[in-house]
Amino acid sequence: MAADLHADPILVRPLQQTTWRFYAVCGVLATIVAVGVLGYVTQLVNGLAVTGLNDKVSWGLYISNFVFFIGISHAGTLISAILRVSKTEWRRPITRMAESITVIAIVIAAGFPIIDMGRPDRLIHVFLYGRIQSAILWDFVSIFTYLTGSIIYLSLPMIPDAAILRAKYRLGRLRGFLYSFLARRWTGNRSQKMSLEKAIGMMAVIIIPVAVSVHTVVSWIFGMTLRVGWHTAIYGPYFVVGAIFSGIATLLVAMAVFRKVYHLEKYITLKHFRNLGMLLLVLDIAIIYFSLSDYLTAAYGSETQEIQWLAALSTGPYALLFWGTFIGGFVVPAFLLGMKWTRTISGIVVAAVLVDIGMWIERFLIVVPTLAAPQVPFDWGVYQPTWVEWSITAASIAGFALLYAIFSKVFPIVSMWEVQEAAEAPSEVPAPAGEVSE
Amino acid sequence: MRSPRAAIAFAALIFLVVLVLPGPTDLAPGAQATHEGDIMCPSTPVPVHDGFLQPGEYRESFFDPKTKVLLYFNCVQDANRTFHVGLATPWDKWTDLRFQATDVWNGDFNVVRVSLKGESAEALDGFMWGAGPNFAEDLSVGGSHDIAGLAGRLSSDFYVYEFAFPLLSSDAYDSQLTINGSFYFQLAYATEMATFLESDAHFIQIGQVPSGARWTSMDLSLPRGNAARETAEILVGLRDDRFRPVAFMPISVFVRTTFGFLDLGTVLTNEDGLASVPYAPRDEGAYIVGAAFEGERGYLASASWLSLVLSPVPATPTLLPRDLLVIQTLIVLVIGGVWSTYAYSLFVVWQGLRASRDASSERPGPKDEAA
Repeated sequence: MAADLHADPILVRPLQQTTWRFYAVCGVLATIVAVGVLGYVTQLVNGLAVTGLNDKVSWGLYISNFVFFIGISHAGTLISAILRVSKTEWRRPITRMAESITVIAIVIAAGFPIIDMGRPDRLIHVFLYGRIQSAILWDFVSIFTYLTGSIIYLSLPMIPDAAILRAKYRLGRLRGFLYSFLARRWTGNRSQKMSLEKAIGMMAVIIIPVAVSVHTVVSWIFGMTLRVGWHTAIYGPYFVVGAIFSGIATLLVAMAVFRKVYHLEKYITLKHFRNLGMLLLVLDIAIIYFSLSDYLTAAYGSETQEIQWLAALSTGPYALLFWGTFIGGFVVPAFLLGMKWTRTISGIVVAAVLVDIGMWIERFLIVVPTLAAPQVPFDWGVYQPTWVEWSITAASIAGFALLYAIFSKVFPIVSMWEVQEAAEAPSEVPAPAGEVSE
Repeated sequence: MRSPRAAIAFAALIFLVVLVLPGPTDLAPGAQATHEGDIMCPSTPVPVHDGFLQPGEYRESFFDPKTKVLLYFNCVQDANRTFHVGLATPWDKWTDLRFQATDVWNGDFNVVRVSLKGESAEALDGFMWGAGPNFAEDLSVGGSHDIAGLAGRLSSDFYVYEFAFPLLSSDAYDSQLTINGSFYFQLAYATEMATFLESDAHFIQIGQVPSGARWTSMDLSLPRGNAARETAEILVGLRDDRFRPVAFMPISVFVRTTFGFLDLGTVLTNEDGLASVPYAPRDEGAYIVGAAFEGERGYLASASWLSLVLSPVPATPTLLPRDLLVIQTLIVLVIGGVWSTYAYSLFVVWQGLRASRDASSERPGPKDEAA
């Protein structure tokens, strides 16, 4: 069946042609990554003393980044798995973008707890001395499970595309080997296709609860401590909604970039942006609701420590970030997404960028002010990230973009067989079994 | 809105509009120091600097709630207007007394920095400029060492120092106070973290009529509780210079830790001059427990410190192994189910691929049939 499938030249062209601009962008990104590696080497040699972390604020930018990247990894789950399970047809051109965001984001996110440890060699202690009662161990298991599932879920739909590329294109030995490995024995006959769709369907169903569990467990790392600002039952759903929120925003930005750079206007249309934009708006309202509920509950109780924490957020040293996030990251995007005349591709992408920035700051505000707030009447902790932390943070974002760019040069960023299947759907609808036998 | 610029401009407009909306009111106004004490230069005997603070030896006292340092003041109307200080502190490193340097307050402090080395006390005579917290020893900048009668000792769990310095000194780097009135002072101490913490600025009056305040003394004991997680009872007794109980006075109780003080609250003494506070630390170890009376209704301040050593207790897990078994089984089942689904998905694909190969190798395809 690989022979039956044909590839739209628009989708294959990014694999065949690479401009100097692509190399220039990759060069810049690689340089940023290199600076981050230098920062990490500095930290490895000198210890965590080169960071702004201290005895009170022991989780800073690193864990904020961890939570943020785990959040955007939900893009793949929601867009691909949920839309696939609900048989939403317009999902087809964007599923691979979403699934690849998931895998790359988890890989980046998983590195941050190790970086935050200061002694990466002690990672082995999780296996040797891990306790089942510890939310950290749950987190480790759930992230590893999610990463594995996401890789499988990304790889399975790539098999038919790999078969097409192997059969019809000469794209170099490395990519040829990769396509051959993935598409081994794939002929695309009906039996294989049914097996593949069954497997993808099962993975789509199972990956949804796994993804929800991942961010719930991440929230439990905070929520199951007795710290002011963290110890709340709302954190599980709050984190999951926030994760999907930032994941969709990231996907929208990726869609806009690939649409522009790879000329995918035929496949990624205003309809995709509007549908995802509406989803983003719903989640935006949900996140505003959760935020208000969380802060109002804390404020109304008037516990001394909670009032101090809220004061630090709302009128203290974090006020600019707090109100900037709430207004710039939540309220303004809601207007942009909600009003008809701003619901254009430009308006939606600007809203998505604001959401991504806002959600990163929101993660920072979850981690740092709570740790800085004294649990007993001691002084407040002070946290000032150093160049080491900023360079590693910049490297993670650049690394994410770099891996994503490289991925788009190895595999078609739009699933070729899925969009073709949609185009040919009316003629390929199989007859019911009874009719065949007749 | 067709262009990104218009979208960005619109976003910025909404941001600005919402930003200027009324924000919440200040939820936690900062506290202000309000203590005011008096210091006299009466014709009483000069304090004996022997490391022991005796009733009647000093005429005024001051307890700083922030640094937990207790000060006793007295001054002598000699040519130097000698200022006598008794100081009790729980801090094992250095403690500063910073005193106004000039008649017209410009922020400059005359500093006496004391610490105990082994059995003997040592003091640095220093200066701090108001422009910044930069300490310089008088000798290093051309001044002289004017601290007299230094004595110090470790008394159970706190450090006692006695010394004197001139309020009217010929040294440009010491206090040169020619007038009576209000003068600023400040306390500071070194912490475990190689930095220092300092009190708010306080002031005292010099040249007032003696107030006739009465000396107090405080006893601190721990009648029960010597293990972590057990509630210890901290018992405080407040007496005057004739050993009569001082009733209905507020006593602050606190615990010294590595990073500062944990306040356990304020209690009133009963008619027997006694008050008790429960304290249940989570962890074993040595704690310095303190109690202080800040001085009120004609009674001078007093404070006391005591070491509380708590032995470890066996860890009591919140969940027993048999309880955990259920949770462990559930977790294993859930995770096992997920991984089994992964494996089954891969198996299904592999089976499809394998079936295809078998079919192609065992059964003739359409082309073969045609041939």
